Amino acid sequence: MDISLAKARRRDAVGFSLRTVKALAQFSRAKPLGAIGGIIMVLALGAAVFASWLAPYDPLALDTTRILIPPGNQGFILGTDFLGRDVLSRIIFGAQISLYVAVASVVIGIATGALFGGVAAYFGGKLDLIIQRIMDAVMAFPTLILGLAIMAALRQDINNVVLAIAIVFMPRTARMLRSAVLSIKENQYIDAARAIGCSDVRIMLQHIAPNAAAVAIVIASVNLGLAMLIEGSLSFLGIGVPPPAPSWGNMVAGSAIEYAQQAPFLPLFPGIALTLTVFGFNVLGDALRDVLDPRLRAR
Amino acid sequence: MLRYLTRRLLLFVPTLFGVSLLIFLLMRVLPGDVAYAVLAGPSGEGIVTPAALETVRQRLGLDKPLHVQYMEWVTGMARLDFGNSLRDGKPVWDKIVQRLPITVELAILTAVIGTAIAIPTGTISAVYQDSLPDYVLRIITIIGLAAPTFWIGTLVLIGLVRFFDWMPPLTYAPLWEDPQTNLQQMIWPAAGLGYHLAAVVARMTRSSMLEVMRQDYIRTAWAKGLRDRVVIIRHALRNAMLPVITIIGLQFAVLLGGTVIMETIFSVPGIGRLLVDGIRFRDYATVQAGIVMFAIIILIVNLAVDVLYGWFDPRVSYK
Repeated sequence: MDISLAKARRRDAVGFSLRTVKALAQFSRAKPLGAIGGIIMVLALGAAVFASWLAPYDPLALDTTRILIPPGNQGFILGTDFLGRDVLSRIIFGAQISLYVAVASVVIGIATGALFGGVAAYFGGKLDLIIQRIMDAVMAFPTLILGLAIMAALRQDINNVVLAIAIVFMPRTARMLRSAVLSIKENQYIDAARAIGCSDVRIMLQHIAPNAAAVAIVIASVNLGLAMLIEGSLSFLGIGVPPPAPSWGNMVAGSAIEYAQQAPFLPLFPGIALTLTVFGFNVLGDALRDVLDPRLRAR
Repeated sequence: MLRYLTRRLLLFVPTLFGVSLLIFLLMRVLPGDVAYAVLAGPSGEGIVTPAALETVRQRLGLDKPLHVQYMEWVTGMARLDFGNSLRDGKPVWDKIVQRLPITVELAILTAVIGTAIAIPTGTISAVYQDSLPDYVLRIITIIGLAAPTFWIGTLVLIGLVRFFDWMPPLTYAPLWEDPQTNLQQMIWPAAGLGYHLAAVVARMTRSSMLEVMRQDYIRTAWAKGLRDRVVIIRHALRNAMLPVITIIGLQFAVLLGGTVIMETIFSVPGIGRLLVDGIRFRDYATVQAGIVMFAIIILIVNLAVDVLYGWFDPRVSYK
């Protein structure tokens, strides 16, 4: 029987999709909490990507004639803030900021961590010791204080926040990936690859990297929540994403004490959004770690 | 034990060197001209002229070569001279001395409140596993893990202002002068901060207790007919405390980060506030000094936790 190439490709695609759906269903049944975390993550991503379509009003539109409207009145589902801006729209666009900072900083943190940690583990010896000492020195600082210190030296800008958080993550990521690479290195297929003459670079990219990916995924899911908390804290202190950008941290800060009597609800909603999203990522990360862990240990 | 202590104390100095080098490089290697930032101010609107830039650079000592700057800074610190604040010209060390006890008090209060709540909570959760109290406590714990410190603090502050007509006091009352006012001021930021700590410690206590309670010696204790309280507290809890202590030690660094936030929200005049104000107004001398102080505190606490760990677990030997 002669199957055209296009038909064969369609068949493969259908099979792949069915297997993915099946794997997701298995995951949801085994780890329902993790599935909830996954749903929250998808919702947050959706809000971030489709913010312009979802938000009922312009998040930056000021209107001093309609300040501090309580939630549920005059068509503002979550009310307006002290400058008349719609809180719901600002929260939806806040997802964009939080997720951008979180994803970008985690990706950069893992990439640089993989570079330093992987290289240190693979080559070992003095290079390993030096890199480890430097990482330990950086890790001595609490994440927030290190982030503060870095932002102190940089101009206040969303990309600098990403850089600051990535730097904070790098040593921890490097350490975890270093132990992962150390255990992967002991496998026989690495020896075999070296025996047939693979270059170091080729071994690192083709053999070590895919196996370390599971560890990287777990690190990523845990750090996403932490990144959002750090960004929120920095913005709350006025050193992170600068206003009027609707970062959830900014929104909690810009409304608190002065308007506590008139509008105590203002810091409530951005905080709920942030807590819920961090909770989702945390719970998803825990579930992923449980699922991928036995495979981490398998040789 | 004594040998281990002396060795750790001796390692203190090179570690401090490494940390100070890191802070120093951080302030100078990152992109952006410090002198420019100082002149431009937090909003970027200050007037910047080349002459003014030169003056600021000379004042900050930035025109000297890097290693000279570093040596001057480090030798200054050894004499407890952290330079003068760029905002009001007063010596930074005086401010630190004034504010350090306040932050330490907040940290200790937080640790006490958090641990006092967490250990019984975690134990109850473990002993009555999968019951209603366990589920309720676990939900509260999960929220405490995910909720940002600044949010909890803000909500506590708003709750106090709105529903109890309480305002953060304008002046700080030291503990030995006026304990009542002092505790009234400090208990709320400590409680807010303690929530997150309690969540982490409770979770660890619960899992550690669950593990310990499955051990054979616990079964023997039940079989011997010992009272519930004796088995749980004297046998199980004691052995479950080891990982909990480690976690508390590790969380201390996070706690210090949290004091920065709580001091800002509740207007507590501690080192955290000093650091944040310093960053906002580009007062680099203060910022450097503040970070060094935090690093020293953390190093001391890490050492204390290591020693405490060895004291609790007789199996740990100090080679």
